[in-house]
Amino acid sequence: MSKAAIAFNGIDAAVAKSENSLVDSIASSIGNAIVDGGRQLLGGLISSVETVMPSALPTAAAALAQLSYRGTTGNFQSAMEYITLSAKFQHISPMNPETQGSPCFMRDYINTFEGFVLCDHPQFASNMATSVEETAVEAFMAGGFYYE
Amino acid sequence: MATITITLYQFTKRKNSTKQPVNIQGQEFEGEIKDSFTLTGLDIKFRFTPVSGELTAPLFNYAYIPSLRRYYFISDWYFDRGFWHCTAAVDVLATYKTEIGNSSQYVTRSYSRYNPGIIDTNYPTTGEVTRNFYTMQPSSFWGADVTSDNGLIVMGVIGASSSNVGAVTYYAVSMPVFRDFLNAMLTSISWANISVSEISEQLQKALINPTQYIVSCRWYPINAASFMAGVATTTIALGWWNFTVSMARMLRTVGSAWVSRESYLNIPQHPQRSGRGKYLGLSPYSTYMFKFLPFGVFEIDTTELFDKDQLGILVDTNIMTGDAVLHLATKNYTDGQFQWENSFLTVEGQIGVPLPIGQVSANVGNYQNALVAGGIAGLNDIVGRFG
Repeated sequence: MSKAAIAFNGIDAAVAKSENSLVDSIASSIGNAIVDGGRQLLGGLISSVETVMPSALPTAAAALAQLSYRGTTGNFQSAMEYITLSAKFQHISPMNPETQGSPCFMRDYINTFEGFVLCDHPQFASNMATSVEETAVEAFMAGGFYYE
Repeated sequence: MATITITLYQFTKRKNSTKQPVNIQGQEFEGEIKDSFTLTGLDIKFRFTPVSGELTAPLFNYAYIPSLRRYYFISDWYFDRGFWHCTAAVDVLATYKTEIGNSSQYVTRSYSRYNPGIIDTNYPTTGEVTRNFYTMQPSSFWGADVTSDNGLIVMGVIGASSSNVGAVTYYAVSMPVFRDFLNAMLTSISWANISVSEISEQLQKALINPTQYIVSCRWYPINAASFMAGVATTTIALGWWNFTVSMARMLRTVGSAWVSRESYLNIPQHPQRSGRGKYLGLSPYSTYMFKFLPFGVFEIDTTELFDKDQLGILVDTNIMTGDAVLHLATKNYTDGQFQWENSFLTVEGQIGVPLPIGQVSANVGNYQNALVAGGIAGLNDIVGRFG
């Protein structure tokens, strides 16, 4: 009896129940016949457990260790893409700096320039020029002239 | 009529020019000027001697009158009573060339001196568009690529080690070494040193899966052969066990796990840029797109690339985590090194390509429920037999 209880420690309730039945049977003084019956009962119990366990364990085993994955395969595509600096250029009409000049935006003496010059709010004065002539010179400077 | 000395020229120059004729080009004549005239406009009478008695038109179109200290355009000639007369208008630009040259003015446009960086709105855009690009193979930047076997695997492994970062030790190995390592782990369980009399080999395999000690695994397009960071080792401490590999680099510190890669791309230039058109490198005449995956595709501010020759690319990568930072800077050919502290763009990205890791795991809750269910079924069966 104790051997069975150790072997099937997980189902003690069933063993205890059969043990109580045996005590009751002895107490009722029914005799050895009853004791033999208890022995048969214990044998049946062991037989039942041996039969049933194979069907119970796979149920538990199904939830045992399973192979699982952490993460997903990353994107290798990024490592295959070329590193690229691309540009789009919009063309302009042909330049004509000889007669239009190019942006300068600086103050300096006119004799440091050559060719086309355009001045912003020019001021010209000369002790040899009349006011009409000074005004004419300023008009040329404001409209663009060639210093050559 | 007053007599006056005049130098007449056959002289050509552009309109609105300060150009003065050279003296030797002129011919000196005596002319008569009306008693009443202005300095800016006058008529002069000449006594030209006809050639062969035939009337011919004077060829002179420009004059200098020394006594008046002025240059004049001859706008017209007319013949009156046997004499040629010219109508002259003062050329203020030639007359005051020296004074003009000595004056200081704010010049907005000029032929000889200009700022090529200032956008010139005088010229409209046409419909013509040109595209250009410079490109670099990822393997040229990183040193390895996907299609070859020369990439780098960095594994985070839980195991006994005196040089770990936190609880994890990181090992960098080549692809062949990584495969050998997996084969060693998963082909046989003998490394566990558990007697089959204690636990059968099959049960050992079911219970022990070494990959559960690999907490991270990433592939990098970094040439493993040239990777020299960390400390060389032939032992990988995994869980309770040690595995021998042909070569691995153990990353003792966070600092040893930083990898920097630097290169550059030439900057495409506007085809009309040469000379005074440098401003064409600016928007809206030029637009630039930079593609570097996985960081992304960026439209680059054209002012950052203006008048520069090279776009520098620097990537600092923490190969423990795969986190990387991209820096972009520019310089000219003649400059020294890129000034990375002046990077105009800094972007984070994930360079490491994560690889899945298999492990044996058990859901304790499911296990308990299944066991109880199995037990109840068994008990019911037993009770049924005694019923």
